[in-house]
This record gives sequence, C-alpha cells and structure tokens, in this order.
Amino acid sequence: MGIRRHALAKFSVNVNGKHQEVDVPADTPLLWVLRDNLGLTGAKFGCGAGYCGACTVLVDGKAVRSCSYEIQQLKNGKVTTIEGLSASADHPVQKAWLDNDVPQCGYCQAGQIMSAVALLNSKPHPNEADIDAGMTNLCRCGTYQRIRQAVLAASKEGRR
Amino acid sequence: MSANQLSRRSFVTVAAGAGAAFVLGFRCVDAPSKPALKGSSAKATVKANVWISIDSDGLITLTVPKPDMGQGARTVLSMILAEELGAEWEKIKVVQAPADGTNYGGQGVGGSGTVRGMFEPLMKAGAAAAAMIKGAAAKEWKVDPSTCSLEDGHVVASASGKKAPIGDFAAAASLETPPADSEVKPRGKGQYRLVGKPTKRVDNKDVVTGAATFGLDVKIPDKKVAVMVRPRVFGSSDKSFDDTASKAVPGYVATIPIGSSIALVGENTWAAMMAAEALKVTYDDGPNAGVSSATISKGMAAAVQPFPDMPSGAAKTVSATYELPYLSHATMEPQNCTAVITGDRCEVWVPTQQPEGARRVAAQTAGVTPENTVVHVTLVGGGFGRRLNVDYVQECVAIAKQLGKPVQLVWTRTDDLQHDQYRMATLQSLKGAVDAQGNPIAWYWQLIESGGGRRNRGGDAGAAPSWNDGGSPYNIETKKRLRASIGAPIPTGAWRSVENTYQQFAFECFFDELCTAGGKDPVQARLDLLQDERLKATVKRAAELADWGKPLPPKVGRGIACFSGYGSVITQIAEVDCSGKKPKVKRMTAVVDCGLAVNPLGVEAQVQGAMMDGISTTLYAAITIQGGGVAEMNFDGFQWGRMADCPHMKVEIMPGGEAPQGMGEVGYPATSPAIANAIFAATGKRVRKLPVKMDELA
Repeated sequence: MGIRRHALAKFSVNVNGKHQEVDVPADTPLLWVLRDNLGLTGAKFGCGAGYCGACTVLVDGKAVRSCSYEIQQLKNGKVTTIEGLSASADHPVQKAWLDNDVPQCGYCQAGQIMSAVALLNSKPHPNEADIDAGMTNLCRCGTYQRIRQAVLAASKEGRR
Repeated sequence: MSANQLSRRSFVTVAAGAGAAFVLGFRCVDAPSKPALKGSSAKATVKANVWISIDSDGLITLTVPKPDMGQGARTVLSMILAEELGAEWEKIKVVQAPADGTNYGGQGVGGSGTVRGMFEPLMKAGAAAAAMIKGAAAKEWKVDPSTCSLEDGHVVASASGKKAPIGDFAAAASLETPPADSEVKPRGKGQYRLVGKPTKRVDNKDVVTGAATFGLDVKIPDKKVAVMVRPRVFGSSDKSFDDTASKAVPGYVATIPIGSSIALVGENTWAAMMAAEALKVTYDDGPNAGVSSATISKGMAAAVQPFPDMPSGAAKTVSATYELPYLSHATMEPQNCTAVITGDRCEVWVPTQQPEGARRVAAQTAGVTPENTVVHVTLVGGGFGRRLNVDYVQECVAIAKQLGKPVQLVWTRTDDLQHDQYRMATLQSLKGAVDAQGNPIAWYWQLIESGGGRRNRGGDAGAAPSWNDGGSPYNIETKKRLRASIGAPIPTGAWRSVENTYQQFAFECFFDELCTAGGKDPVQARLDLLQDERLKATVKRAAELADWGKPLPPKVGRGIACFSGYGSVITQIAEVDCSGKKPKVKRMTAVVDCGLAVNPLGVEAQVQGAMMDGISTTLYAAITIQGGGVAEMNFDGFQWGRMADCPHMKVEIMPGGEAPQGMGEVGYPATSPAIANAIFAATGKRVRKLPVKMDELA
C-alpha cells in the first residue's frame, strides 16, 4: 500500500450555507473534515471505504459517501449534512422518518435520510424498484421496511 | 443525590435536599426470571437503580439504567416508569444512568432480558411515586387519597372536582412517607394507559437531526485519536516495528504498543489512520498460521460420531449434515471508547452493553478505584452481543494512561471484522426415521462446535462425547443428542440468540426433511408434534396469514419454521423466488406471542430487524478463516442485506399474557430455516450449508 502523505493545505468549504476554512492534508476525506474539524458529527463513520453509506452527505444536492470523498475534490461544491437539513426536524424526509418510527440504533439513519433526500431530489415520486436501486446504504438493524415506507410517505408529501 | 438513605424496609426513599423537585430513588432488583448475565455485578446489596424526579414545572426526568443499542430500552423502560405517573409523554426527559452497579443494579443488556427483568420493579417504582404525589395532593385538598388520580400531567380529585398540575406537589410529595413494598400495587392488564400503546422512540428527533450522541460523537476538549495496528493472525505477536513513516504524517502524536498491537495516536482521526497505515510491522505468526475455514471444517467433520441403530419400526431413515460459518457482529458503529485519566480519577465514554464491566475494566487498567471511575454510557450504534465484551475499553484506557492525555480509540471496520468474538462455526449431523405411516419416530442430533474463546460449551476437545436424551423441540419417541467441540483457536462470543442461531437452523430444516420423508405437511406436522399450545397457535395463525397451501408460480416456494425461547414463541413463513441466479426472499410472515407487548412498535421493529439478520446470514454473510486470521476486511467481503433484499414483512403480535417476555433475539432463529425450507419447496433441493450457494444445494 502506498503511503499517502500530504502537507497541510488551506481549503475553503461551504457547509450548510456557511463558508469555513480548514487546514488539512488534501487527501483528507470530507467525513473527517466535517467531524473532526467542523464538529459536525451527524455524518457517521461506518466502513471508511464507501461500502455502507453511514457517512452520506449531499454535495450540490447529490449523495456522496464522504468517507471516500477527498476534500480536494470538493472545489466549490456546496455540502449539506444532516445538521443542515433542519435542526427542528421539519424537513419532509425527517418528518416521514419520525412518523414511521424508523430508527432502531439510529447510527446509520443520518446517512439513510441524506440518501433519501438525494433520491427524492432526482426522482420525486419513486416506486419500490427505484427505492431498492436508490437506497443502497447498509442498516445493520434491518430497518429497511420502515425506511421504504418513510421514503414513499415523504414522496407523497412533496419534496422541498 | 444518593441512595444511602434507603431503609431496608422501605421500597422507596426520598433523596435529601430535593427542594422544589421531588426525587425518588427506588430499590429495584431485576426480577428473578431474568437470566444472570456473565460478569454482571447485580447483588443483593443493590440500593437503587432507577431515579424519578419531578420538578415544579411538571417535567419528569427518568433515569434509565440499561443501555439502548437499538432494542428500544430507553423508550420501553420510560413507558413502564411513566405508566402510573399520568405523565404527558412530551414532558418526560430520559437520562442515561452512568455505570454504577451499586446504585442501579445489573445494567448489562443481553439475553433478551431488559423488559422481562425490569417490568415489575419499574411498574412498582412508578406506582410508588404516584402514591406519594396523590398523598401530598390529598393532604392539601383534605380529601381521601384514594379519590385522587394522575391524568395528563395533573392530579385530579374525583369527589371534590379539584385539579392541579403534578409539579405543584413536587415539594410536598418529597415529604410524604414512602410506601412499603407490600403496599405498592401497580395496575394490571386492562388498566394500562401507556403500556401496550404503540410508542415511538424517545431518541428519534435527535437521530433524524444528527444531534444524537453515539460513542464516536463524544466531544472532549483536546482529545487525541488512537487507531490500532493489530496482528491479523490470532495468537500472533509483533516482533518489531518501524514508525519512521508514521512520524512523518502531519498530526502524528505517538506510537504506543498495547499487548500484541500498536496504537498510533494522532491529533485527529485521519492523522491516526494515516499514521497506522504508514507503520511497518514484522510479525511472528505463532502456532495458528495454518488454521483455515477448511481445516476447521475438516476437524468438525472428523469429530462426528457414529449414529446408534435406528429403532425397529423405522420405515425410512433420513440423514443430513448442516454446516454454518463464523459470523461477525459488524455493528454499524465500530467499537470505540473515549477516556480521560486525571490524577486518581478515570472518566470514560463508551457505547457498551456492559456498563459495569466497562467500569471494572477501566478502573483496573487505569489503576484507580471503581468509585473514582465514571463510565458514561452513550447511545450504542448496534450491539448484537458484541458489546457484552469490553476489550475496547481496556485498550483505550491503557492508551490514555500512557499518553497522559484524553484519547478516543477508533476501531476501523477491518479491526472490527477481524478482531471480533464471532458466532462460532458449527457442524450438525442428524439422523432420524419415520414409521410406515410417515410419523417421525427417531431423532439423533449431534452438534460439533468449533469452540474456542468464551463460548466453549460443547465439552472438552478430545473428551469422549456421549449420547444423551433430548435435542428436539418435537414430540418424537426416541430423541438423543451429542455435543462436542474441537476448540479451534478463533475467539467466539454471544451473537443475537447465541446457540439458537445454529441449533434452530438444524432442528427446523431437519424436521422439514422428516416431513418430506413421511409425506407430511410441515404445518400440520408441527401442530401434531409440538406440545406448546402458544407456539402451536402462532403456527396456525402464520399459516393463515401467509396463504399456506395456496398455489405459487414455478420456482417459488414457501417454508415454515418456528422457535420458542426467552419466554416467547414465534412462527415464520418465508416465500422465496428461486427463478433467478440467487434466491430472493419475497415475503416474510411472522406471528409472535411475547406475552404482554409493552411497546408493539418496538416488538415489530425487533422482529423485522431480526428477519433481515436471518436473510443476511442465509444468503450472504460469512467470516472466512484464512492463514490463521479473518479474510474479510470490510462490507465488500462481509456482506449484509440491503434495501433490495428486504421482502414485504408482516409481523403480527398475538394477544399474550400478563407479563412481558423476551423479544430482542426471538425473531432470528426461525428466519433462516424458514428460508431454507422455502428454497426446498421451490427447487426440490436442500440447503445444507450457509450462506446458500445455489450450486451447493443437496
């Protein structure tokens, strides 16, 4: 395995509508910039390799697995994390999650919600096959049936 | 506040200095029906384990002693506590108790024991608090306390028509004489207001806004982050290492050898991860380097004993051998811990199923007293049995001690998958017979466990195994069992439903094979040969709900399996489509009787989740041993079910008895054999090895 060693560099990031500067190696995953530098711990570390999706955030409205997305890739991309969705839980997807009592342990749910937001951004009225294809994050508690119900419910509410 | 005023005779005590807040400490020992957890320090000396406080604004704070790992403990225990308080659900605040066995009793969560064990004591705790509030109101209003009730956050006196918020009596209630245990009569079935009502989780809002605090989300000023470099081979050790390149990583802090592993400490997580990746280590692989899944499999096969002769009257004999692999727990939140040691004090934040064990280990490792060790239990990102062990606490405190600074230990996913205490691999060989009428008359079951670690239950490796009576849930004349273990050097531990994960697979698949040999319908045969009426009722109901017997398209089959354990009974029916390259579970029906379902939404969630576990371990998941260690490094290798694997699930809860029974594990054991039996119904071929490979069907 090649050793990655980048010197610290300054990056300007736009997260949840706020511009901030961070001083990190260029290959630092967005996940760790969010969690360790900016203190936004809503996006979770699950696998570090893009397999599980617990770290999912939006970049310009599209879902990215932030554990495998280097800060240098971001350029002028606008990042939205779960904290930026709505702190009072009144985004339609958050509301659908509450209405359907989706979470069990809850650890993967921020990533699931951000994936659902991205799916509904691109496909406002998904059918079950669209949800199967679009919601690929791992939930180790197995909350998929309620996630499916919640995505369908949110799509009926209409997206923002 | 302290519980030291607790008198031996009194069930409830009032804490000193409560002021306007009414604070109660209740002596709540787990009911005896709860199985004792290994390592639990629950003793007769328990003083109190639950606190209720009501402030003058009517805000009720409930301190929950048990961790929530997704099983819903914080919600369901709060429901029970609040049942008699007539509380507005929105005015309840739930606080997680720190690890403190002296004051909170057994805090471990496992064995599906949380609600079973806590229901009665918590109902009493709530009832006692309610009695004191009513008593205080009655005095002020000069009415008979028995005419007072608590409703929607108010005390109401039916005769006089007086009504006032509960908070108004917080101070006065603390002066009431606590009722004796024998005087506390909690309400029962038919009288409940909260118990039995589908109730959403108390932490949902925090979860959907990202505010929930799991172990990795703990924010400690100036904390460093540690990532371990471990030998992959079990039982090996490092010979030498070179951390020159690690030191060049920006943010590198320290290199700290811990046992046979090396901690790389960084200013932040990425620095620690990069420093760990840059470390060069030479290992001495030790004696286990030649161990593989193949050698373990061979070893288990060699341990199989000859079967006794089948009884006379046997018209047909059936033999089958089932092999199941090691499984990792793979909790979504990797193992982690955060520790701060200052002087003679140690403070720890950890997602764990075993708070008291965490405290004991932290104190020992830090070299301080348990009294000076505070363990904060965070939300737990999945448990499944993995977090009954506290190895990560020991590591973290050891690093913090050497570093002299606050540190958060983060296990990578590879650490987590390769250094688990696995559900053990097993080989089960069965032989049985049916008579001329097709009725099962003989059942010989032998279980060969890979063994190892803490779950070496099958007897000593090498000891002569013998046939004993038992080993089948069915009423069959001759039933014998034999157990052995080969003691493979792979660490093993409890995994959601423990031995039932493999035993039930063999039992329910083999019973299906006997049904086929005897020409019996698997539903009817169960109704004929099961003795437990509750279980039979779930079989009947599940068959109705799942359209048992109705025609299906070609290559689609239904399979049934049932399970009784943890005080509950369940039947599951799977509908599986085998027309493609791999089986697709289309529909799962579950009917469960768990006694009193305190939170039906929680019961349903547990069964849905356990069924996804069953689908995952049937179709995908296996830990492979290669060269003495685990081959899988991440979720690409250790695969688990995703949305596309989730069938339409129907969970029905039977009206049950008056006491709640275990639910956390009940949904798992019958799922996998139901799917295997459905694959047989669809293809005419048997699943004898998991995970299923279509070209390996027998």
